[in-house]
Amino acid sequence: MQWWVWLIIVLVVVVVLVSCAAAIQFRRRRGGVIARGHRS
Amino acid sequence: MTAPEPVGPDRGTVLMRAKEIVKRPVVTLGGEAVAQIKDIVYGGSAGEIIGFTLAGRGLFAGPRKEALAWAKVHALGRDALMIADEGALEDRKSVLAKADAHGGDVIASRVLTEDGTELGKVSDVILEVGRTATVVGYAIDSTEALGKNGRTVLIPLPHTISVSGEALIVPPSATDFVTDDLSGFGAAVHAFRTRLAGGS
Repeated sequence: MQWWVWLIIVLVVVVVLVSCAAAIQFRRRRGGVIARGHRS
Repeated sequence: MTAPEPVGPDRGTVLMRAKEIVKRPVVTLGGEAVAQIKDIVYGGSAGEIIGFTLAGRGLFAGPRKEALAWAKVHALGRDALMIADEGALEDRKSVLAKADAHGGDVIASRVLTEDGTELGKVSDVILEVGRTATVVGYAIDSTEALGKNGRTVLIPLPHTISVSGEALIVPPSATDFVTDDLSGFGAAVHAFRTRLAGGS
């Protein structure tokens, strides 16, 4: 394959990984108001 | 070492939106930002704030294993939550155990009256903060039933809050004391609770 095809593949993989990491981090850090006995 | 006095703002009480408090930095009296607030945890029928779960300060920092009990808060100011030192942080489980907190997030929960009318979904929680901090109202994205054209409004809560189950239940008369913003909401809460107590 052409070198630029590999470049695009690598860039897509990097973008997907960064997006996943950002989404996970957002969920881990997202705050809330937790009430005893409540089921959200 | 003696534990610091549990104190909030020095002058009276103030109303705050929970979302204003979430992500506020936790700073020691030595000036070191050690964490940021992640969750506000409350429990009991009186809606008292038990404490806070924490997240780290760095870009990639996740939730911290420690939590902060309200009793260890030196002051909850407009820009930061102050603690004496990092020793004020406790094991997360011990703080949550005080709340018996196998609870869930009330944000986006449905609010129903005792006669079964859905008033809307919670978008924020209103706290009265002084030496103690208690939940006194919800900001809700209203339904047609409330007659507010779907606006976000504030609805007061009684002294005894019902939070068990999936929906949040309020007395039907709470709809008479709905306000559009925090100005006047303290008076609305007082008037609502006075009426529930049988006052004028």
